[in-house]
Amino acid sequence: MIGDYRLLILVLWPFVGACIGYLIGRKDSTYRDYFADFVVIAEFIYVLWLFPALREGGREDFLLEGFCGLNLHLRLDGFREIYGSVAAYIWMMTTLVSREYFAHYENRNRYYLFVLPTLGATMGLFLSADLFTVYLFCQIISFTSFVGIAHDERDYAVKAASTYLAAEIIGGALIFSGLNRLYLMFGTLEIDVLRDAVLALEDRSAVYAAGAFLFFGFGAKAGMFPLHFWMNRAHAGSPAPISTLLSAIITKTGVFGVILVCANIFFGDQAWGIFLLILGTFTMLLGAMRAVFGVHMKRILAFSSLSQIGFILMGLGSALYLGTENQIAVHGAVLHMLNHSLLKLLLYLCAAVIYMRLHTLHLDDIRGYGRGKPLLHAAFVIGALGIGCIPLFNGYVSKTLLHEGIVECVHLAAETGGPQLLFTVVEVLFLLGGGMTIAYMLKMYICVFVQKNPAAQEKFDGYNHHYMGAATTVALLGATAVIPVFGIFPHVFLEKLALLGQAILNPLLPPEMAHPVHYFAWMNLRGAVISVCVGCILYFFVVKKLLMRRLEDGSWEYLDRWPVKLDLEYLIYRPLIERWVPDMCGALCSVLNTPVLYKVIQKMDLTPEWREKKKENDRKRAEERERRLARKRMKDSNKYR
Amino acid sequence: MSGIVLLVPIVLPLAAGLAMFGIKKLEERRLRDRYVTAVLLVCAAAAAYIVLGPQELELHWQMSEDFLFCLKADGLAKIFLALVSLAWMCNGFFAFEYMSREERQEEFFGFYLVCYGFVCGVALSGGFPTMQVFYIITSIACVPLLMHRRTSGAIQASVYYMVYFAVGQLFIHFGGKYIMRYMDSEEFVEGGSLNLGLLEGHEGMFMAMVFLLLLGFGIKACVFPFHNWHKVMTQAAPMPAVSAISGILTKIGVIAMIRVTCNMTGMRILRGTWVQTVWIILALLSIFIGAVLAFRTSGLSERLAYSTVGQVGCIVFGVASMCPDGMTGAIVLMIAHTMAFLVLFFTTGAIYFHTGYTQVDQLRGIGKKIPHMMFCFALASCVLMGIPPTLGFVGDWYATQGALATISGSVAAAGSAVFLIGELFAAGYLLPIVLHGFFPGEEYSLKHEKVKVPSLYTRIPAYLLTVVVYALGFFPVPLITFIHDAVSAMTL
Repeated sequence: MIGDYRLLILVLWPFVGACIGYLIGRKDSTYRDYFADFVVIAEFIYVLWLFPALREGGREDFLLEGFCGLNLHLRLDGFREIYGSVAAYIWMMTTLVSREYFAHYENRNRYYLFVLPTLGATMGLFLSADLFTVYLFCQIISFTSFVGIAHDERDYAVKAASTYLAAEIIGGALIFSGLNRLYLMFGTLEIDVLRDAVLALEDRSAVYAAGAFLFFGFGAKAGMFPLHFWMNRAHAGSPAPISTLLSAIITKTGVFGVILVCANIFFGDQAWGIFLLILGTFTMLLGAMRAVFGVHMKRILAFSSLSQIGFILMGLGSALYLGTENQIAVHGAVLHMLNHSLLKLLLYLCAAVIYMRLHTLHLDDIRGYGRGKPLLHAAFVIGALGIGCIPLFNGYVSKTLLHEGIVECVHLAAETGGPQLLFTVVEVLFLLGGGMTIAYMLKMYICVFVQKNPAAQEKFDGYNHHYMGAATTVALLGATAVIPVFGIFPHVFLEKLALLGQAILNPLLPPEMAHPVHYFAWMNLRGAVISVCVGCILYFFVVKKLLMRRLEDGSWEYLDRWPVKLDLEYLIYRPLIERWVPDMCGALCSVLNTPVLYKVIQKMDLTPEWREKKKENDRKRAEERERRLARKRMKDSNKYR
Repeated sequence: MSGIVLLVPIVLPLAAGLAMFGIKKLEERRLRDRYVTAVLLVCAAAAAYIVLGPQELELHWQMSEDFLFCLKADGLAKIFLALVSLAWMCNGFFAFEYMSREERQEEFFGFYLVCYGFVCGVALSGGFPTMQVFYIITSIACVPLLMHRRTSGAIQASVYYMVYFAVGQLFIHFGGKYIMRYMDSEEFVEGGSLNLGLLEGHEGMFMAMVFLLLLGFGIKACVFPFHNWHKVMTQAAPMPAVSAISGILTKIGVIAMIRVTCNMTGMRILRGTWVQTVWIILALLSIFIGAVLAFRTSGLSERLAYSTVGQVGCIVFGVASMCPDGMTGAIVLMIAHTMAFLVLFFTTGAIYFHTGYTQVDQLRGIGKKIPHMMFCFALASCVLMGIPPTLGFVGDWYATQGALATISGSVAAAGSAVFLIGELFAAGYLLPIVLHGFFPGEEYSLKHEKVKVPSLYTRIPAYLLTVVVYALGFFPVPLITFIHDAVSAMTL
């Protein structure tokens, strides 16, 4: 063990806390709930305390050699610091809500036993300075969060969880083989060492092969395009606190892996940058489109996450394309990741608040629920404005930077003769994606807070003033407050954070802004205005005309117009994994596996006749003995008579 | 003559087992359980003494002019002995409850102990002739376990096994005889004792004979074309016998292979030859076949049997890479697989004992009834799937590293691909059991009334093995350095 063990405590404490909580929970569930709150709050405070403490004195990393045969290496620097705190913060909020949310659920002890270690593993993952450490914690997260997803034990939840696990395991296998190749080439998985070693190479094709394995492996965890199939069902099937975690943090663990791969293996590779940009654009558009079509609040939010991850990937792609002077794109990617975590926390908490009373999130059923609930209303509006990238809210800052990054790509392509047209198309699609974001947020907002429910409006109004408990209120307020603060003062908070975290993508960047960004200048506001216009047009002409229907009593009904068949999971992946591949392999195996010899032996009559005979004889002999004894008894009794 | 200690784990169970046939009192269960426990514990203690002892004990006895009886506790032998003793002891405890409903229990336990002695003999033997003798006797001594139930299925399975065994014996006999001509020493020597001068001009035949020898041992390790006996055996024998044969006796074949490559011919002469290539292909085919067929069967014990084929294929793949890293990986995998597999067998055995379930579908919701054992099952599955931080991952890592480093070209690429496919299929056939065991879905309504919590005799071995395999997985460095030292010394 080298370095500061306090970093290890950060990872181990939730594991220990989970075990203690489990033991407490066997005696008393109320104390267990309070103890779980204590664990996460203590973790958050410890994180906030530890980072400055480590900065002042002591080493900022911790190395446990030979764990599982390789090294467990934790480090603390800018980006890791930010995301460690974010993870602890989000866990704290969701755990505060959990007590009320799960009040009527069974198996809560199991829930806490698995959700707390997920915090520890996530913390470890974001702190890791070694690819093996990343992989290790990735796998732990998959198995522990899987239990959370299936918590309901309903069929859909179990199915969603199995899909999730399948995606994670396939991703894990890809990562394993990528790491294997890298280790074979360099003899180490230390991220810093790898970066220099890769840069020193002449022929990088072998490294790129390994990098591609890693990229798609982590992509599966992040929900990147061809491997995104688990996203919507896992989010919709799990309890709201778990979907919050999935969306806000657990997918980000995959993004973190993708960042590490891009920054250290594919660094400065323009072709890969373009590939990533296209992939990101596709993911973004796909997610946004399905969100616009969605009729279930959690599904819409899940597809929204998919779409936002697409935005982050676009930022990474443009950062790669721009080479070393990519500060704006790097800041965009890092900040959008952070903002998305915070926004999704807020929006999912809103969904949790609605679900706690209604036990459904279908848009038709929750119409009008938000009327007369000012706190929920404010929280949702702020979240929606944030994710819709309206100025003065945090999402605007990062999306402006992402947009700037793509514009820089256009300029660079014009100068160097790159594919300028492609970047222009990407820019247009980027703005379109922003518009779609606004459209689906508008759809949800109008549904919940403006429209009236034709059937149950009175019942809904009856919940006013007591629709959530104290802990939930605190969590919701806490999650809401951050967003405008970050949005109004971008130079005070977000820019500083971006400067702190930029080194993870490009360590060569200067420690201050190379070009100051004027967020509220017309040039940047224009993007937001275009997006809002596109969003409104989409909402009023597409969503209202095609995806909603006016009923006779004047209320609106939401239609699920997305073709059922058009679902990659059931169209391709499930048949592929459950039928096609096993059938193909099975046919091959049955040829190889014919037991000729055994059939011959079976033909022979090997019934153990001698044994049957022996049994028969034994029985006869026993009967005989019995009879003799009986006769003797009879004789004896006659004698004494 | 401190080497005499080496005879304890061989002779003691042998004598104790044979004595069981003579002592009438042992027909009573409680007394017999205590007796067997005592014997197993004493043997384990002796094994621990041998393994942990500082010096390498040796025992030589020139029985006749051309037969040297030789026992040696070198690095590899220590590992094998420790593994075999721990596994055999745990499996014995598991058998107490399971066998309590079978007939002729004293006979089963008698043969169980006898078999244990011979297995220890294989692990400890210090020369090829000695190992061959023990190997033959072990193979024969496990037949009574196999056909314990005396049903026609059991007898068919035994005949089937015996035919395979006889063929393998033929291979081993001729291959061994031929190869011993070119050896300088009858004993196992670090790095092998091949006399290159003598060999000159006979390389082709030599390679063929080495292959024959390896194939002969491969039959016991159920390597691809000879894997079928294993499934047939699983269906017929009682569960403790199956777990002993499948978990431990298949490893005897692997141990013998490691001895041949490390201590007789040496790895260097085999590296890059057709023997290695064919050997790898066979191993890959076993991985593939085992994984796929396990995925496609719905019978519980058949699934475990095919899974054994696949997992032992992984081990053989590591051995076939013929380099210290791959060999280390193979041995680590062997340890991980033995322990994790016994846990699976204990759990399914306990369930079968109480309910008679033989199909995977019937296990829906079983985790609600026996949560702790099913949790062990889940943990053991993770070991078999090679999820970090488990010992299975460590083994997989070293084995693939070794293979990628030494084998070149398409075979290596195919190797790592098949390895991954095997792991994915392993996840595919093990995880649904866990998943549906704990999350049965809506249709499930507290069935499984018959399921009772298994007795401590069944649970403690399962817990113990899980803890050991995880402790080793978290901190494998001492184990790996030990194995690596033992193996590297042999590649010089």
